[in-house]
Amino acid sequence: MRPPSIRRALLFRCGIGVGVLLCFLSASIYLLVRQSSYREADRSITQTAALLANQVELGHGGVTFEWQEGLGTNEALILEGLFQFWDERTGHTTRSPALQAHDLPRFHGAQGSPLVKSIVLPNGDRGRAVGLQVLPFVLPEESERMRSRGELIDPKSLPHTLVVAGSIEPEHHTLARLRYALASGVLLALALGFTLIDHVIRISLRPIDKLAREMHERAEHQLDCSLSLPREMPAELTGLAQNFDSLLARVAITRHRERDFIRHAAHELRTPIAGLRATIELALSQARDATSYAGYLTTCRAAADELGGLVTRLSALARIGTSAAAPEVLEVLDPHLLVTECLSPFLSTIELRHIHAVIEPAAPDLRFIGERTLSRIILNNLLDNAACYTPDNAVIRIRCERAGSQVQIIVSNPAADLTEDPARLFEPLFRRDSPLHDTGTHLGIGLTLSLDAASAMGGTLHACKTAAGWIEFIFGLPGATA
Amino acid sequence: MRLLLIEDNAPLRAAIGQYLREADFIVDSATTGEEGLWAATETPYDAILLDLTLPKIDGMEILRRLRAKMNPVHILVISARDGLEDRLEALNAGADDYLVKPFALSEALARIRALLRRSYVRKSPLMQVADLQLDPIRRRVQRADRTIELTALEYRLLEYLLYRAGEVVSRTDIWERVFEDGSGGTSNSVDVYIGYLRKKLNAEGEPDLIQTRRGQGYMLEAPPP
Repeated sequence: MRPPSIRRALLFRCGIGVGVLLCFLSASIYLLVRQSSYREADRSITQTAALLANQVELGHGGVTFEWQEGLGTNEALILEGLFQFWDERTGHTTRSPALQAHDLPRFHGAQGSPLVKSIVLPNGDRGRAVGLQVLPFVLPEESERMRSRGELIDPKSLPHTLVVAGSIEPEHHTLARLRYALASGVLLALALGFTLIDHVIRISLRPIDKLAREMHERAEHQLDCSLSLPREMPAELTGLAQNFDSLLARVAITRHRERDFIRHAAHELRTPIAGLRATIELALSQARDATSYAGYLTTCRAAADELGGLVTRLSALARIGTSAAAPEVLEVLDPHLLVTECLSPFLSTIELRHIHAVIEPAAPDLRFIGERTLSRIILNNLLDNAACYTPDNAVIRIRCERAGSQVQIIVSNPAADLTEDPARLFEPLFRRDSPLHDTGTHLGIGLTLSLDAASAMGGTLHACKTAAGWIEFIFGLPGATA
Repeated sequence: MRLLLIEDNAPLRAAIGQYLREADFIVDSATTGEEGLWAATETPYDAILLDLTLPKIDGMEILRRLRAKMNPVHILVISARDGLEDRLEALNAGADDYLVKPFALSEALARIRALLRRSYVRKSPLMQVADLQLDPIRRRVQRADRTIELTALEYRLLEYLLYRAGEVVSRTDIWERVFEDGSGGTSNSVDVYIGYLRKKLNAEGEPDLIQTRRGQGYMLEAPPP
C-alpha cells in the first residue's frame, strides 16, 4: 500500500476544488444564458400574445378577429406567427396561417394571466408558448348598435383561449455551443490547473525535500547535531524543524549521558579488574607456597565479588528510564509515617556509632502523591547514606514540610569534610569517599537511581550544603491533602 | 630504592606493593590522598605511583601540590581514566608517566625503572662499573664473568650505589632508600651491609669498587688505572 502523500493529497484536493468551482461557474453561466434566452423568447411571444389579444372584437353579432380582416402593419407577424384561438364556449378554433392544420397545445393561465410553457412545435422544433384567456372587446359604436337591436351580448360570455408559440431552436443551438465551450473550458482549465497546482506544490514542498535530504545524508556521528535551517525555510516548517532540532538536542544529551555512563562504568570496572589482574600476575610471577596461592585466590574472589556487585549496580543504573521511570500506582502517602518506617532498620546501626536520629514533628495533614515502593527506595538510600557518612556521636535530622506545591522530606547530617559540589553526588558512579562503616556497598549509583525515581514520580531530589557545614538531601513530591 | 604507592583499591595496592618488593624495591603504601600527600611530603622517595581517584584528596591535587613545592620526585600516575584529556592533564600537571589500569605489573616495573634511570641520567637498563655488572631485569650481578649471589637487601644496596655510581652517597641516603624501616638518622647497619657487599664483590686480587669517604659516605666507582 502506498503511503499517504502530501503532494498527491494537495493535488487531488486542489484539483477537486478547482474542478467543482469551474463546474459550478460553468453551470451558472449556462443557466443564466439559458434563462436569458428563454426570457427573451418568452417576452417576444408574450408581446405577440398581447397584440393578438387586443384583436378579438365583438361585432356583427359575433366575434371577429381583426388580424384576419387586414394584415396591415402586422402582416409579417401574422403570416409567420404561430398562434391559435379557441372559443371556449363552442370549442371553435382559429389558427394562424403558419400553423396550417396543426394545433398548438391548448392552455392558459388563471384569470387572464399568461402561462408560459415549453412545447414541441408541429414541425418538431423546441418552442415556447404562452397561453391566456382573452375576452373580446366591444367598441362604443357596437354597444350602441347592440342596444338599438335589443340584443346585448356580454363579452364575458365569449371567453377565448389564445396560445402563441415561438421556436427556440436557434437559442438551443446557441446553448448547445455554449455547453460545449464551457465543458471544453472546464477540462482545459482543469488540466492547466492541475499542472500549475502540481508545480506550485512541488516548489512549496522543496524545503521539506531539502530537510529530508539533509537528514538522510547525515553521518552516524552527526545524528544528534542540530539541523542547519535554510533562511528560506517556510514559517509552517520552521516550528517542525525547530522541534526536530530540539528533539536532536535531547538525543544529544541522552547520548552524552550514555557516553558518560559508559566512561564511568569503564572507569569503575578498570580498578577492580586491575586489582584482579595484578593479583594473578603476582601469583604467577614466581613459584610460591600453597598458603600464598590461597591468599591470592582469596583476594581474587573478593575482587570478583566486588566486580559482581558493581555489575549488578551498573545493570540497575542501565535500567533507569525504563521500569523505574514508570510508576504504576501513585497514591497519597504520609511522609512522616514513611520516614518512620524506613528509619527503623537503620536504628541499630546508628546506635552502635552513637548517632542520634531526630524526626522533627510534622503537620498531621501533610501528605504527598507518590509511588510507595519508589518512595521507600529513595528514603532508604538517603537514610543509608546519612547513617554511613555521619560522623560518630553526631545527629541525623529528618523533617517533613510543605514547600509551595510540594511536600518535602529533608534528611540532613553534618558533612564538614564534603568539599565537592553537592550536585556531583548525583552523578553516576561518583564516590565522595569510603563510607565510615561500609566500603563494599556504596558504588555511587544509589543517588542517581533515586534522582531518576523521584523524577519518574513527578518529584525532585537535590542536595545542598548549609552554612553550618551540614548536607541536606531534599526529596519533594507533589503535595496532597489528608 | 624507595617507592610510594598511593592507591585506594586494596587488592591492587597489595599486588603492586608486593610485586615491587619482590623486585627489591622498598614500597610504602597509602590508601587515601591525605595519607599519600603526607608521606610524599615527609619522606624522600625515588618514585611515586599515584592513583588519581582517591578519597580525601584527589590524585591530581597531590600532583599539583608536590610540584608546587618543587618536589622533584618521579611520579607515575596509575589511573582508570583513559581519556586523552585526562592523560594530558596529569602530564601537564607534572606527572612523569601515565599508566592506564588495568596494566601488567611488569610494565609498571619497567616504567619505574625507566624513571629511575632518568633520575640518574642512564640510558641502558644494564648498570656497569668497571667489570661489575648488574642486570635489573634478570636481577643478576656479575663481576669478571663471575655470578654473585646477593640477598635482597644487598642487591638493593648495590643497585642504589650503581644508580649513583661516581657520586658520594651519604649513609642517610642509603638508610632511607635501601632499608625497609629507613626513617630518619643513620645506622651502623649501612656500614655492616657495605662490608657484606665488599666481601661478595671482591674476589682475590680484584680492586675494591666501593670507596669509603670518611664523614661523607660511600662511592662506587671504577678504580683508577
